[in-house]
Amino acid sequence: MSDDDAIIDLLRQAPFSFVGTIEQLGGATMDVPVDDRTAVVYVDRVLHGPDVMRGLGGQRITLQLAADVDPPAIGTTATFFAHGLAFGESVAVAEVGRLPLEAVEPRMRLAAGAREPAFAAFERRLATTNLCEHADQADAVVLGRVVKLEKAPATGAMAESSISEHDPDWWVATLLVHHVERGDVEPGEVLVLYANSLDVRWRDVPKPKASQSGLWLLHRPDGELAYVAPFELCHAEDRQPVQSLDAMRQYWS
Amino acid sequence: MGFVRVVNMIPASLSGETNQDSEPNLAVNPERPTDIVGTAFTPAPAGGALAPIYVSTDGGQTWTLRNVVPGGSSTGDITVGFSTTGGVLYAGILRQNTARMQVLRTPTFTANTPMTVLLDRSQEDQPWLVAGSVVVNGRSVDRVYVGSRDAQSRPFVGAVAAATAAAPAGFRETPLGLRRGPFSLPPTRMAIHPDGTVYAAFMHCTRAFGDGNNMEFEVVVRRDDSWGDNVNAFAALAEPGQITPGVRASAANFARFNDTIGQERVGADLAIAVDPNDSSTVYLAFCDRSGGVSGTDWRLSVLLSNDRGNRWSVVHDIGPTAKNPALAVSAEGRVGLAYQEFTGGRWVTRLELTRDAWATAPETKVLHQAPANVPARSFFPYIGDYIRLLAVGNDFYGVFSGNNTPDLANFPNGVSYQRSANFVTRVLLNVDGITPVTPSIDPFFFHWSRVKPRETKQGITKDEADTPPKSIKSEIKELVESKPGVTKAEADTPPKSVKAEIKEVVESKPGLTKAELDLPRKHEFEHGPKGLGSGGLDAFTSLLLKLNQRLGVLEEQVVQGQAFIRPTERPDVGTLPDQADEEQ
Repeated sequence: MSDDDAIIDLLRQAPFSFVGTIEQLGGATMDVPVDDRTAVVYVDRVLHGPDVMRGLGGQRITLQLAADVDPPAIGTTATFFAHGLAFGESVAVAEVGRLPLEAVEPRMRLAAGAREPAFAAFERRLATTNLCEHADQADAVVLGRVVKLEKAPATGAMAESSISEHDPDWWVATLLVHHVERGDVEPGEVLVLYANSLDVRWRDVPKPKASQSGLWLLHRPDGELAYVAPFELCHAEDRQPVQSLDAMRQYWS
Repeated sequence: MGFVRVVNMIPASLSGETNQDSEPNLAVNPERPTDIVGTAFTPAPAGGALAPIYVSTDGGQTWTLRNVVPGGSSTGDITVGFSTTGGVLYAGILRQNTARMQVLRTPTFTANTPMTVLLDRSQEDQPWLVAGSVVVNGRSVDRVYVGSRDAQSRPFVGAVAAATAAAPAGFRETPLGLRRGPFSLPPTRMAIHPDGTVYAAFMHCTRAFGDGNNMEFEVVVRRDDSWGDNVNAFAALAEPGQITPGVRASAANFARFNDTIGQERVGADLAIAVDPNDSSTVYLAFCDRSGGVSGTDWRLSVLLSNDRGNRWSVVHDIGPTAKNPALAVSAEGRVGLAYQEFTGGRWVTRLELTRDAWATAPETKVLHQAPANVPARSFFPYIGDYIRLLAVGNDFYGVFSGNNTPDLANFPNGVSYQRSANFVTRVLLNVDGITPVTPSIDPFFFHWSRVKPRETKQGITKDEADTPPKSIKSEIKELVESKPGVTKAEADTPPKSVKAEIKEVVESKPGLTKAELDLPRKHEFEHGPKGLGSGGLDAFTSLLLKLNQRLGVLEEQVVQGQAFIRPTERPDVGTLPDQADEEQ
């Protein structure tokens, strides 16, 4: 496996990576269970991670070293890939994988030249791969424009008189499909269900707007919902900019 | 009169977060009340397959987030409770990834290992967990009740019978509904008493009309006198003419479900609490729209029953617009009511305490008040469909969510922040102590006690903010007395010469960070007038002392994550002898 492949593999598993120097074994920067694989590590540089963790550069944090790899010696500087364990005055993370510094330095130099985070290119590639894998699961992939929005008629179980704060509040969007990339659907008007609720459970589901165009990843609904419309939007990624189609075509080819 | 401490629960290392951390919940270990767990719609900071809980081991003064809840990086709903003995933590959740309801357990709430799944059900709503323990045959057995609304829109109660048994740990399922009318509303709330009395309350819709969100409802209470551990459970209360057990504590109420007030939805608010000294005395709180279909109010009523839930009377009323009632009764019989009122364009969170069921004016503490239009809502619920209040001994512990702007005017009884915040400029700051962070919704813990809680290091009350600390006062006094020509006003104001000298230093040292630039001000203040300009050995010595103090503050801020040293500026501290040996 090349260094780049190893990095991508670890990026798939770990939401956070950094160049760090082991300063202490059997210690911690915060109140967490400590064993001989609990290390205090100085974060020389954050390579990727959520915004709330990008400010950890220059700080000491707790790293729970992986049980299946020899713990590094004190003073060792390496690239650590980790997921979050605990967040208090300091941060504790658990090691998912580790690479020698030399394995990531070329990538860091390239990224520095492009004035972007160290693994930005890999993260983009991973995001595209994830999107394409999600598109693979869709029953249809189409380009189209929203021409109508209406509340879904209540049928069957949907008509049962009950209420919940997590009610999806089903609506139907009519898409005028002008290109079918994948799936058993003809160009023309296609009905698509979506949850219009702003409840925490449905907050990320796309909510089509009037005249909105895009690339739509459509899924066959289950049960009685299938009587209302042949397709459904049910994932945050189900509406994409048209440009995403190029990436999908490359992936599929 | 008691004292209340309010603490923002977001840890220092997450100073940059801007999540809508709404709908909080709380569990306090009755055996050791310094052990506390909180929850909210807080996502795991780094994503992943586990959602976080907030953990405190110092009575709520400081908090950490630990990712231990299975089902995704956050939860759909979550409530928590500790067993009375043994420190076992239970949680009732709706999983983020499947929306299934699960009951979880961990024997070690501070561990970083995922909680164990005890029960898994589909199509449940709003699990509300209450836990206790009882001695059976000389052995402590946990009693855990999870009220929810089940797939048939019936209230549902389950109970765990053992703290250590394998899943499903003896869970018994008891549907409570089946009353006349179309469905029950999401909340099912419970109150347990050490004598085995368990109350369950729910809101039952007797008629839905219009678009289906207009409804008439009754508040129903059911009771069991033996832990609900029998075939015909929760059947101790009955009303003539009703097909299922239970007493209507209030009937013919109106609600418009999912109506919005102050960016928040309303429609189903319910709380119940039993007096730990007398299981016959039980309090109930709920909200309704007294104005009916054309109304805009959302009134909160508190009811009392002194005869084990048979008859109820209204003892308190809050209006026109309040939600999220939370009730608890302390060991000395004091009743606590926490709620959130929308008034004057603000969400105001109050704690009321009474020893006479509101016959006289209660002791009232405003815990938080802030504009309801900041921040903009990103989803429902904005601040939460519920908050929680617990009584342990004579103390009350609670949690609510609200606008986290660091403005002492929003916290009339003071507040302590762990996350980086400047209460002078009223701006939140990122972990670097420099970058501004936009306001968001945070969970706030509060603790009411008859005795003043021990002050936290970072704690600050409004009085304290308005009054210079004694040390500064004494320094000023000393300075003024030693320099009779200096007035108090002069002593309170840094002289222009100091400002000019600082500016000069800053301009000549462009590498200084803003945090470092901000540091001297406090000490300029302490230093008093003419400190730098007076010259001589005393002034030089004083300057060195102040510089030393500044370094101390900076080091402390680095440790607390409120300031940082860039890797390139990391001091070379040499090589330890052990390391040198290894290198050789």
